[in-house]
Amino acid sequence: MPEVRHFLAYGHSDQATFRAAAVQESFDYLTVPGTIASYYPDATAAFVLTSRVEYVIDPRTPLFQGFIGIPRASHFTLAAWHGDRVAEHLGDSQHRTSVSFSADFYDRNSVGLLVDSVIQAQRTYGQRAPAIQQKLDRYRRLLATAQGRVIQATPEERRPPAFVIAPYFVTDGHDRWAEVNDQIIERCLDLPDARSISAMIAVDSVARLRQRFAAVPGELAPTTFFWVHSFNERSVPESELRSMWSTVLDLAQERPIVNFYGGFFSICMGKIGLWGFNNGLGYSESRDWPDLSATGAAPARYYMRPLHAYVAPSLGQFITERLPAWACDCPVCAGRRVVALTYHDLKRHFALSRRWEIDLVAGTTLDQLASTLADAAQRYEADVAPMVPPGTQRFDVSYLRRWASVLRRP
Amino acid sequence: MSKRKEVIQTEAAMVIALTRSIRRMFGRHADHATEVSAHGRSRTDICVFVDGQLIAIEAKLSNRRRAIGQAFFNRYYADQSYIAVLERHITHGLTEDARKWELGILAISGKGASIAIPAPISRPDLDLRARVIGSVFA
Repeated sequence: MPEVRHFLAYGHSDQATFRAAAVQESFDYLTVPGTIASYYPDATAAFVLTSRVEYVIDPRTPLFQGFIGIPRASHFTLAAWHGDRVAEHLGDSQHRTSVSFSADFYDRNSVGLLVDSVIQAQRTYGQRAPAIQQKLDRYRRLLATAQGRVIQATPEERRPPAFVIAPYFVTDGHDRWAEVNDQIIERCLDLPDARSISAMIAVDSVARLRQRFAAVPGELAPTTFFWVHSFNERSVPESELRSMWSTVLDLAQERPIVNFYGGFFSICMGKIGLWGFNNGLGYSESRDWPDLSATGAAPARYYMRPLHAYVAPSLGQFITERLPAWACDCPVCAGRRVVALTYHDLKRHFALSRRWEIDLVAGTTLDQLASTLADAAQRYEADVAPMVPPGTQRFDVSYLRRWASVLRRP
Repeated sequence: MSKRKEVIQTEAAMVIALTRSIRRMFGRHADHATEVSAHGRSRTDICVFVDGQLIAIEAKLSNRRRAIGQAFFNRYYADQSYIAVLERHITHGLTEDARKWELGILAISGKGASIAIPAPISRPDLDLRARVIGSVFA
């Protein structure tokens, strides 16, 4: 079975990190949030199109679901991608007021405009290259400088996204939003080349996944994305992990599926057929709704490989002093102390660590992985936790045992 | 006319009292900065740079255990690390903790701040130390 594909989400402050050749080689698809693509249209397009990597754009439609207290500037630019009705309803960016998008707002007319606009924006993304030639030249030079090689302009700079994602709303499967999602799919089927449009299943619990996947017709693209809001692999109970595992096992037999917010546990699910998983560069391994808009640049955190988790750089330093065998030997960390890593270093280290994790899982049995996870939990609790300075937030490693339990006896 | 003693009731007031006493405690050439970002998300209340030495100070009115933890991690970039507490909060237990974690204690009262226990010299990461000095005191 091929290894799981890694989608790595891009933040506007991540450009320098993404230009590093080692980082580019560490993932399979670049995920561009629609907010960033619309808010920094030319710079983002120039960066993405000169990057040489395959990409996908997340339309982030749930930003127009429910109540918005004070719309952000990026709400207005993204609204323009979501059709005239959404943009009109959001109002004037110069006079921002609270606004609510109910399911009733999305009648057939609105859904038609929404779908047409979102799909069009993605399908024509590469075609904007000629209009931003100067920016393309500049971003190509930056990439060449970062990678120390000559990079020529190629027709690849007009490539479309590898996947076109249909607009989507978060649903509990029984609410009006489920009906709106059904209408979205119907509209997608009316568009030319519907086979190139992937559905995004956004649900409130693992239990709803099967039901919503069943609503995705075979006439759409086989690759289907999903997001279970608030499903945090490190904090959900073991029963939820088991439920996710068995659901993925079943659904993956029918089509390629991509978990849009996942981490190491998702990498492990690659062994049972999960086609891909997505996360940000140092953030977003889970996502709550309606807090979708409440995100910003990733905090400075160190990814501790044996724990498969982020820790404060100071705690990372402390851990590696107690357990020198846990010191990372990646090209970013080798010979350096964790606390000395810059923000950019921490992100590069994370990208390399994710690649390391994918390779680790590919070459290890589930039983072996389970033993490694349980051993890491035991070592942390025995050799680090009792030594941590007073007042330091306790780092709970119990998730490692929950993961190990599922991997041993799914 | 007798001077009225200031009553310290907030951490902000502690920081003000500390900054007023910096030169008395660390020497007349001591330079200082507040709210210094050094590693991760943490910010050190006060950094002092004097005679080539970088000193970190973490002030806490309450939750002094947390001050110990923060001050300990400040040793990763500073040559000396202190916790600063109200004079009346200095107990035997706090003193023992400070010694265990290789920290000094600054005592704050209405009359200002003073060194209660000198901080031992730590072994900071030289790159990080240089980065902090460069960003704050250059």
